[in-house]
Amino acid sequence: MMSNIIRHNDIILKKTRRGRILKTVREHYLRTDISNGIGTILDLNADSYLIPDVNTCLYQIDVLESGKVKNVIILQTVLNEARSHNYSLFKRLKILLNRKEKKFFMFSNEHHKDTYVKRMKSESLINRNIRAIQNAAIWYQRTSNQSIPIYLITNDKESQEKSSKMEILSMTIHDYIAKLGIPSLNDLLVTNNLSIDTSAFSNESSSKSKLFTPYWSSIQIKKALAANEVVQGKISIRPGSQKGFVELNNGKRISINSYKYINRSIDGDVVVIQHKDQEGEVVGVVKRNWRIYCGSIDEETEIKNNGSQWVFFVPVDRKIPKIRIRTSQAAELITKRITVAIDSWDINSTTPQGHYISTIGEIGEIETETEVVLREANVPHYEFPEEVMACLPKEDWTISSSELSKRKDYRYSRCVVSVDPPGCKDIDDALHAKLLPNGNLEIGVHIADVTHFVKENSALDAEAAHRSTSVYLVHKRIDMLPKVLTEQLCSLRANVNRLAFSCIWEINPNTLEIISNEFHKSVIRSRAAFTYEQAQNIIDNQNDTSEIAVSLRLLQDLGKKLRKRRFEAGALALASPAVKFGLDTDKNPTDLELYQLRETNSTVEEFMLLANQAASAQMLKMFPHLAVLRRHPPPDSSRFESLLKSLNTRGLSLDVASSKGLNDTLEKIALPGNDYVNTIVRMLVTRCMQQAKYFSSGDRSSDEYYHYGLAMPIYTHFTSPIRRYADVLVHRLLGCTIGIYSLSKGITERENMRKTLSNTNERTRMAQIADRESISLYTLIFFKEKDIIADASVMSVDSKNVQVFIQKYGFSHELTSHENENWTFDEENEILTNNIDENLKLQIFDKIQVRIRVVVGRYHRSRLNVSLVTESRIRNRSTDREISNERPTKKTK
Amino acid sequence: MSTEFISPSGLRLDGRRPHEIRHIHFQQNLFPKASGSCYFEQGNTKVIVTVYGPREVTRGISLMGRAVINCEYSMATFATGERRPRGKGDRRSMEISQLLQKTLESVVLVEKFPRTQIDVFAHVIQADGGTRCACLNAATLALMDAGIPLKDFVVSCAAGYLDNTPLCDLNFVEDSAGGPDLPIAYLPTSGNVAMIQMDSKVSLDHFENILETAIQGAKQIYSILQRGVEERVKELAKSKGLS
Repeated sequence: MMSNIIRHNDIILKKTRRGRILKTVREHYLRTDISNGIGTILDLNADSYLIPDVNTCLYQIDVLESGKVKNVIILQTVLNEARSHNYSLFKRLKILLNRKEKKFFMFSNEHHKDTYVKRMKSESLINRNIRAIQNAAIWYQRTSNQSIPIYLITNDKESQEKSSKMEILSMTIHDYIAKLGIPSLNDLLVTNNLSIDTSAFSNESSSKSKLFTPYWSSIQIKKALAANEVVQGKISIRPGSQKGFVELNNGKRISINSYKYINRSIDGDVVVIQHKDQEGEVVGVVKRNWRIYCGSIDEETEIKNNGSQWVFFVPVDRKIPKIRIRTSQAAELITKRITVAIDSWDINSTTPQGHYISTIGEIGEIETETEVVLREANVPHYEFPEEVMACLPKEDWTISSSELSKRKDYRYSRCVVSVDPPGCKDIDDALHAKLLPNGNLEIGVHIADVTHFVKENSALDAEAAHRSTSVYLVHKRIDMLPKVLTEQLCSLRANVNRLAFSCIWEINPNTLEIISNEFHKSVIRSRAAFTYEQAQNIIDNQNDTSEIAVSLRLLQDLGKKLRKRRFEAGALALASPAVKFGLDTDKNPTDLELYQLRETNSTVEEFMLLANQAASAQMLKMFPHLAVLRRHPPPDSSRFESLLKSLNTRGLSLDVASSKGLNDTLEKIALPGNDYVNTIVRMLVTRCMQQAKYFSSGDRSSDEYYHYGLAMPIYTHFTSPIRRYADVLVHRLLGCTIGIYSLSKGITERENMRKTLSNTNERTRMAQIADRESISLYTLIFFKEKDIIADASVMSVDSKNVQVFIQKYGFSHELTSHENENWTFDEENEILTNNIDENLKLQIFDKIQVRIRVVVGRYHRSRLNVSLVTESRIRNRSTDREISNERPTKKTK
Repeated sequence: MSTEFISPSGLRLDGRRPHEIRHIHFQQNLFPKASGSCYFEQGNTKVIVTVYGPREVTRGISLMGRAVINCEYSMATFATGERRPRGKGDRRSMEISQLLQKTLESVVLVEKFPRTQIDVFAHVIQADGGTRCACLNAATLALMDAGIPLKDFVVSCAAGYLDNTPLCDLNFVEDSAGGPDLPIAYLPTSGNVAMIQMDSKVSLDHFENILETAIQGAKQIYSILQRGVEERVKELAKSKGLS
């Protein structure tokens, strides 16, 4: 160790969980070789350097992140304190420090000989830290160029006074932003004089009557929790209402039915609830769930022409209350989608107070609204950062000969092809089949070798793990990996050499017995990249006896047999109808129809299932506690109850005891007169299903590994590493089983794996939500300014609402025009009868006609209005028989 | 919420850079009654090693052609934050005793002292990570103090891997972070590694890097020890009128 380093000890006294006092002594080295960052990260000729204090970092992070505030020195003292206050903010600060172009520099003042401050006897830690910050400011003033001012940025009056005594230049962040003279930055500022609202307001409350009850102090809450007088839980708000509930650990719900009792908490907050006659009241918020919200300014706001004004911001998420923000650009923002953060919620205010962050775009434009969908689903969709792009190989990358020598070469010896949906650019998988001399088949599934490019622990890997999945929207794709990999180097395109991870079987085509199965890395050269339709045409064309056609036919035959065996074993076929939009060149929807499935779809799917299953078995055999698997828990039978009751009213039934029974009865279910009954029942059954989830095999007992939908004891995802991170993990683990990778800490540490997988599960769920939202966005655009009458079937009926399935467009929707008071609900037979016209009845599987329109509500909330067309309904009833065989006819206005 | 072991400015929790070792201080010849002794500080890890012998074998078997080295490692009750009675017979102490013995046998010229034994007692007064390394370093110095001929210095240093960075000479906080811990004993003049121990799992890709870091740390320790020993020898020579 260098001689210019001084060493001393920090002594920390800690109380253990058992109540003993521990004395910890830690070394603390003070050095003189720490750079001040000027000239390296900070500009040499800056206008000024800023040293923000802790509160500035905590509350004004949005301004700091804006990119306009540069040459900022973050002291170690500040960073440490920010970390103990708010970890997510600390991470944002760290990102700022890592980006060179932001010009944020971290100065380790605690380890510099001249800036270190020893805590004095009876001095509080806060005062000591303030002193440390001031000391560092003085040091900077002394050691740097005198002509450039160094400002201590603090909004604390006391510390400003102290600073001026010590001849430190200080100013508030508000003054600094005013000095910069960029008006848009003003909106990013959190308003002055914030009080942290979780603290008790006990002294204030006695003097005046308040709108809300003050929160209890944390000591009070702790005591009451210990005495079981209050309960803690996450609050959920019903969309569009001022009512909510808290679900407790035991599954019980406590409802909170008034705004006053919700007491300034927001959906997702962890709150403490006190029981008050039949309902609960929030008495404290343990953890806020505030995030950044997308929405718009109330369109009925009166706009002032100059100066700033208070406006109401209405979030898109209907669970979130309006937020009051101050802005000077109301005239400009009124037609825009903007983002806003909540700063505080005053005890006397009906709404929380927040500040503007950014503008997304014009309301109603596809790009803007898609951006809103992505942000609300929390999908990371920013450009890949520089350090991630730095991990990528060059675009002219080719396979080196040393790499080639390590792999099996299938380039010319096997006829590999890929079959995907039209327009697919990220080709994960390719297949081959070869008849062996002994009559058996050699089947190969070749998966893009993503882990060759995405090295563990690289920035690229961290980014992929963070994103976890590619998100498919109607008109675009948000990639998990940069485009070079997704569409070029990893994508198994036709007639280029590509690296692959192959799974090869030798299968007896008659008994379906697997004679051998192995995984290895390979090089392939796909002969052709087909769409499902093209592949099907080649198979069907009996005159075509090319190698590709023969290979495809072998695959299809075997696939059929495998599929049959799988369903015999009890797999479920629950494909709910997917819709497909036809888009014009401007990405506007021109057409909406059901997605056509072809036999080749299921052939490819069959081999992917086989490969996934093989991968899961291989992993579990070698690493019983580390395998990344996917489980699908069986549905809760209580979920089926209401469905079975509804089916019973039509004389139908389902065997829900096992997946096999369910599938067998689903196969047979039908009702004369309505061809869509089977589809509808499958959709309803799907809604009873639970979500499949990734998990690590060490975290669950082996009977929980079961995949209900596929009726497989173990299952995983191996075949789409370009778009799913779980597959990347599986590739790494498989690589370890065959000795080409070594087990790393990221894989072996359970806590680590648990975190990664729970993120993957959450992102997968959010990706589905984004997909759904994107479809409804496009549905709205498609039906906009149209007035369509279409055939539909009733999916479900209860006293409150009626769900209908619109066959032509393949989606289900609630009947909006349906009004409670005009209808009577027969509980037993589940029939709704119209009070005025008693012939007008609605029951499950009834064929009806609906009128589809788009209504634009207040706050730019468009929704689909699907109403019952009554006349046609009466006409249909009288001529039931005639139309029963009729295909749904086109009835556009 | 995980601890960050390296700050954005590249310093470790205690202010060191990743490749820096802790402060080292030592004093030889503390106890005149022993043949050789050394007090050794490596940061907050403080140990005393005493050497007795070569002397007649009191227990066990004497070997015809060489000396037997007995090592005993123990830790004071007050060595860690929590006061706890610690014997010398527990599993961990036995393991480290064995390790010291095996390592020292490879450098002491045992064949010079047939049918004798050399006793090495290592006692940890304060523990802050890396006690076995400190004991080995102290043992080398104590053996030199006892005038026992050695083939080479034995310098020992540990290295670990946290936050994607190889770290040299781990302290207790870094040691207990759950990352790999790789103590080595290095023979600086021959460049050989006399001892290497690895209990945790580490990816092979990082191993070379960690090993290199440990060796580099051992070299730093060597230069400090070498300088200290040289000075002491010069002093001794002066007092005996030899220089």
